[in-house]
Amino acid sequence: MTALKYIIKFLGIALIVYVFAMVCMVPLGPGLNSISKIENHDTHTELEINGFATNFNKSPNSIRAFLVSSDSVITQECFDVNVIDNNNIKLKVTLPDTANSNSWIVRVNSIDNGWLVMNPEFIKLPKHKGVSTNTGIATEDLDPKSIHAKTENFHFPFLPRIIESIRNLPLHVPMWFTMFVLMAIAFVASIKVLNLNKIDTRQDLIAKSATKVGLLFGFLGLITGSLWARGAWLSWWVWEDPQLNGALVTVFVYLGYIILRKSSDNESSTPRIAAVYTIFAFIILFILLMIMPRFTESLHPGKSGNPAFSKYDLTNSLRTVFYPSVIGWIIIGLWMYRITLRYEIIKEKVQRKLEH
Amino acid sequence: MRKVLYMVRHHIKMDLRSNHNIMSLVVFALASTYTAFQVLQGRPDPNTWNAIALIVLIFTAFNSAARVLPEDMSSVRSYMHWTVPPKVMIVARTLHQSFIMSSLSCLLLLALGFFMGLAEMSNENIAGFLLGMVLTSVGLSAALTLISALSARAGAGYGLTAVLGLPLTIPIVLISTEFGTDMVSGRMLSSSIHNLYYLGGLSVSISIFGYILFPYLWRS
Repeated sequence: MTALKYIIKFLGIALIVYVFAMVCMVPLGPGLNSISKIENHDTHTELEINGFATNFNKSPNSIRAFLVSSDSVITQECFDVNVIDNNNIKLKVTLPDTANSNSWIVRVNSIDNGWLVMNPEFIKLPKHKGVSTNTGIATEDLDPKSIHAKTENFHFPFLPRIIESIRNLPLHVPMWFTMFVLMAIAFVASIKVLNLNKIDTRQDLIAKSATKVGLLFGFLGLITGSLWARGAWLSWWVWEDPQLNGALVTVFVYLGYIILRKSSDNESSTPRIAAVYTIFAFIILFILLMIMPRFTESLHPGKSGNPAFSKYDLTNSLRTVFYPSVIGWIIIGLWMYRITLRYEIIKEKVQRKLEH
Repeated sequence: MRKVLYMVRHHIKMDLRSNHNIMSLVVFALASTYTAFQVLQGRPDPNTWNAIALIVLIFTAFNSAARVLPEDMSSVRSYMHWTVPPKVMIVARTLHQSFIMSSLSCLLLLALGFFMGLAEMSNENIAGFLLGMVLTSVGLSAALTLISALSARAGAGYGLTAVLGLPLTIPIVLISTEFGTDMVSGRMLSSSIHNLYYLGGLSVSISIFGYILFPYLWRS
């Protein structure tokens, strides 16, 4: 039994070390960042496209670029592709005046980068008369497998605006998972406190220490989330956002638990009062974090529909870091809770000795 | 059921007998509306109007929940403990509190209309807003009755009710502000009616949890 305990603890530490190493070391995949310049000419339009972590210089002749209208009716190949440097290319395009779309998907292909896609940009590109669409390109040609499909090495996906801060995903989300696990422990212990007729100090202490450690993870979740928001949304906190406020209120609710315990002057009834509050708080936590975000608009990924991260399209590379991270943090959280529990029990015993 | 009705009647009787409790709430609501009217000099824009209505409603609910009921005093409590089952107690208290808060919200709407106009809402919107306020006060009453019983048992007063109650009532406040904004901006009641369902659902679920949890508080 003790051997198993040590193995689990070691596993937790190993997983966290692995996660931190991966988060710091894995490179980001190539992607298209933005259209940095648009120049209009009589016969064509010149675009400058800025990429991230791309490698255009290596095989400049293999680059082909396409503009696809967002309703994917028109596909137009760009010509005169010029490489400025590793991250910037210049290309020319003529768009037919029959096109009535104002948003275009940019797709760039090369041997060293494979397919790069930039999602619809709402740009007004001038259209030219008498231009026919490239009838030679069928949409099947734009299938990633058909032209140069790069054998991918291990990297995190490039997401516009999030860019490097994607590394925060395996550090931010598991905090809330761990908090949920610890609060569930406190919830179960509180039910036990209420169900027993005699006062059960141990269950009460379990609820108390689980809530304390869970609160710590809640704070960590808020801090990592706030840092991430600074990176991705350019603001430390978005006050109109229901998901963010729900998280903040949850932490306040559990802070209320600590205050309640401190301000209760009736020793014998404190466990029962605290248990009632914990059960109530857990239900509110569930409403705030799991149910409310489904009904409201939010900037947070998974807006209106799913509070988690379906939008992220977790790639395999992220999964190999994310799941170990969840398991690792939960193990560390439970370990911290066990230590806190032992401390609380000893404190209780000492207090009782002092009273006698 | 008869016991519940009896207890509600008893509570109202107690309120009428020492009516400074109720009067203080009425005066609080009227005075804050009047203060807002004085500061804003006439008719505020709809959003300000909405904010004032909800702020006054929420603070009135907190004041009302923080009143010391006779059965929270230890001497009366031990008597009540043997005569009234806790489930009857919590239902009666919630009903009584909801009743007081609903009538106060009607009064508040009248006062707002008298001092600051009704933000140019149509009749349908006024009815919807009133309905939203009543449902909000029912939800707040359900949550705050439990919280105030809890803080009374913990031996702390108004401060603890506010500290514990404010975060817990945030879901209700969020929904009712959203609904109120829809109403004052003149949207059709039917396009925002789902908020009323959420409010009702929240009130009912909070009441159910109060009903389940209160007996454990009551026992000593």
